[in-house]
Amino acid sequence: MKKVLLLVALVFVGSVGFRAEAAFWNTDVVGSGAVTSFAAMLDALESKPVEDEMNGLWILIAPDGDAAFWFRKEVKDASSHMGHDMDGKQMQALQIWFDAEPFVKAGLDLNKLPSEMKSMLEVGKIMFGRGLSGTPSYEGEVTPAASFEQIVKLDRDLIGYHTALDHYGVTIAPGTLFEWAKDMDKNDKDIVFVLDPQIFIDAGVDPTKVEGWVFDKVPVEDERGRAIEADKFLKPFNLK
Amino acid sequence: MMKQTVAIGGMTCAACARRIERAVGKMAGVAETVVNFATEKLSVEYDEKILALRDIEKKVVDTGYSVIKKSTVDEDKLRKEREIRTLKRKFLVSAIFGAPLLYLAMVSMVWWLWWLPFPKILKPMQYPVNYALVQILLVIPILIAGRNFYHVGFRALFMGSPNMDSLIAIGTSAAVVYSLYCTARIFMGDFGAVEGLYFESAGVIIALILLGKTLEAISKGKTSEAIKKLMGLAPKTATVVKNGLESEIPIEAVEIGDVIIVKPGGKIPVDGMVTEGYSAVDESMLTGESIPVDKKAGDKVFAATINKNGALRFEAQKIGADTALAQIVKMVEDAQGSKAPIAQMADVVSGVFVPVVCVIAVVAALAWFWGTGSVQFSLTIFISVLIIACPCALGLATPTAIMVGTGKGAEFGILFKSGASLETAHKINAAVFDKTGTLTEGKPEVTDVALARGVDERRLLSLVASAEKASEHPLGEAIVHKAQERGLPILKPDDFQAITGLGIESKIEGINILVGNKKLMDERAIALDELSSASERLAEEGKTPMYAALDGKLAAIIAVADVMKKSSAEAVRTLKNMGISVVMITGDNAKTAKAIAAQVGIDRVLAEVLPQDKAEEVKKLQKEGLRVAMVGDGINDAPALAQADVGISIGSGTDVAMESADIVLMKSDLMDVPAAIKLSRSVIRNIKQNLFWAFAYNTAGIPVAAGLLYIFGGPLLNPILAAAAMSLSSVSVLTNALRLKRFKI
Repeated sequence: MKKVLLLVALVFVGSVGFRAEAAFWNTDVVGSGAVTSFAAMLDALESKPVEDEMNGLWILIAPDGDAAFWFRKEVKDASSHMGHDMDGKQMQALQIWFDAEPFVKAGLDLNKLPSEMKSMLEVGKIMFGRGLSGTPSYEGEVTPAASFEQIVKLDRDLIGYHTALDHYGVTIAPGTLFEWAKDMDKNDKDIVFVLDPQIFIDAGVDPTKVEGWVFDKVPVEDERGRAIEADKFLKPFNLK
Repeated sequence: MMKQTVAIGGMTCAACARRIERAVGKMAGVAETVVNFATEKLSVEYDEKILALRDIEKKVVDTGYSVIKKSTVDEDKLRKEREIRTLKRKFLVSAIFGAPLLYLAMVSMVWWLWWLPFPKILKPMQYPVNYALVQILLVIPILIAGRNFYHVGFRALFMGSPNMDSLIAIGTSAAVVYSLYCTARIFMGDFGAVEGLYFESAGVIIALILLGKTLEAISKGKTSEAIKKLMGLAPKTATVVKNGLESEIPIEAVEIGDVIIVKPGGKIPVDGMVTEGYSAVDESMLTGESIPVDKKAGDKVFAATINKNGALRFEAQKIGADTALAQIVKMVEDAQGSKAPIAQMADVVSGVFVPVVCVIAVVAALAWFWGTGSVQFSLTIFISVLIIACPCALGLATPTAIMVGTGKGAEFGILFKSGASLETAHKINAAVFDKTGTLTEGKPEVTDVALARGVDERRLLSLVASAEKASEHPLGEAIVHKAQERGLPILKPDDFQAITGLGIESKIEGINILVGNKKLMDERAIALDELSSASERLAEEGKTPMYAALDGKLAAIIAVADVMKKSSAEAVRTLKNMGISVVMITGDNAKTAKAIAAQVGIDRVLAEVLPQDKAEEVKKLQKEGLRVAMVGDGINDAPALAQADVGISIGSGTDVAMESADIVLMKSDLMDVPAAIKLSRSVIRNIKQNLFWAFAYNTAGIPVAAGLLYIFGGPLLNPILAAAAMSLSSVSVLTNALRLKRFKI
């Protein structure tokens, strides 16, 4: 029994050591790798993210202009202008938006989409969005890369790794992500907008007829790392 | 030649036993070696002029195993208990750390476990380093708990004779090393390598095998419980009378000739002969007979039996290893340590099995790597094949059944002297019974009294018994016994004379009494006509007529015969129902023999067989294609007992007969003959079941593990499931063997 207790103690000490070591060593290789590779991806973008000052967001627009990834720079407290939704709430901290037209042409019944996806329909966009669990706080220069680092810091759980594509990704909604290559030199899909097609299929879309999006089965890991194959709409871009 | 038994430590499977057999067998001067994996004992026969036991022990140690010095029952029990405790502790450690390890791996990988909580900080696709490091922390204690597998397995592998532990060591090491490599890749940024972590396979395999080993150790202990019970029966002290003083001394200090007192309820400490007192003694622990046996001066008492109601004083005659109890224990131990022929096949298979499995694992892994290009998949195949193929079930199949079977036999007073005898007994299709002392009680008894006209039976028996009292002839004793039984007075003769070869002459209360054979009557010109028809009838019935004349006139014919044992007829009937032909062998003339045989339902009689020809008669039966069991008790039966396929001696018989026999029946109850055969049949059926499942499991499991079914769209065996199945197979074989404990006569 003594040996059992000794072993339990050993593991406890090991765990404590591991935590201490983690702080020193940074065992969060995915988090830190995501930040580094995101910065590298931003550098490779021809059109750099633009700042939406009113809403405190950075807007990363896809090379074809049909889709964009918005991510929070800072929290704004202004009230009733464009930066806020119809209820006066602040714009969501992470968003993907894209043209509604290809989906409508493929049979989308807009009435069947959830209301939160339709907040930008007036400008012809469908969006997915989510909030952050904290407020970014910067020590140095406020750049898009620094803002993304804040997102990783505040909501690390949203950041994952996609083995099949060798991508990092930030989860906007279940099955919907913005992904970028871990190493753009080895990847021909440097950024990818990934949508869960089910919500559109349920709203009448024939997934094979959506122009500008690839509908395919993609090997992915679910949030626990289980390897599965899932239907996805993909909009990939090679930046190099 | 010297025969010795050495207790071995560190064996883990039948391949270990085979390895020791080979190593010791190669030594100059060694004639025969048998290593029994179940009893963990080496029986070696060697020429003591060429080598000493310590040389053999050194060889065992050099081969990688330990020699356990001879211990007492208590020490042996403590050692086994310690072993079980250690295994339990190791399993506990592996289970404590293996459960969360399995949880981490399974909950994150198995889709239908989505509902179970999972710490965010360990999500493999978000925190792969954490996920890997925590698994390493959890697997380390398990590897420490199972370090013996690596120690023994790799040593055996490097010495060129891989065993079951080698398979476990190679399989789990491959899993751990590959997982460490994947962890390094994760650190280097290849997060996809998280899918190549197999720490949980290594950890859970070890945990499951430790569980299997623990259950195996517990079950093994149960298989030898009967003998342990027997060994534990001997009391630790004896009350000895010296110079008129009683003193309690350790059993080891008792010497031959010591006078020992046993009070009511006490245990008889050593074998001896009663000098004073009268009591009933419970000998059930030796004979299985539940009715206590009356003991008086001149009767033998045996160690470990229980004195029931009266104080006994007896003289020690056999002590230590010479007592009947020690002899029984040795006999059962030898039987359990010996190998049945059926076990040889399992040993040969086990011996070549491990290297063959290693080759299959490598070939299958390479083939799958060539086919899929996936190291992970090939590794899964490699580990699964190695783990599922551990031949421990095969190694346990025979010895465990033999152990339980011989132990069970000992409980009933049926002592199998070897595994071979236990195996051969099931093939018996002819049982030859010696007549005198085996089918019969071996003590003549008065069966009939034919009286002349006007003679009073009670008066006649009283007079004849009184006359025979001084005689020591067995036939005379039978008459005395009959008179005593009927409560008739035994009178003091005024005169007595033994007439050699004819009978006796005596005078009591003025009556001249003549008792003897026909020749004596003829010599004295006593007319026998009145009872001539009775005389003929008794002769036809195989009885011996004794003529009694009072005052020169025939008064009666007293028939004396060796009566059948109560169990004889039933035993013969049971054997016949079992499809076994029953034969009686005797020196009697054919007519008498047939008459006696008919009483118990025996149809085939071998009569007028001289003692020296009994073995030849058995041989003739064997030439007819029969598998013969010879049942006998006397010195004259010894050659026939040795000649028979199975020799069965009656416990009340001579030492020579017991030495020559393969099976000893302690109770002298002939119903134990069919019981022994039934037990043998049960044991062999059990062994065959065990071997079938062990072989079937391995032959079916290996192709599945190698991915043969997977090629055709079938299932693939996970290494963890392989380990669980492997452990279960051993446990199932042991459980099946333990079913024999429920055997009933």
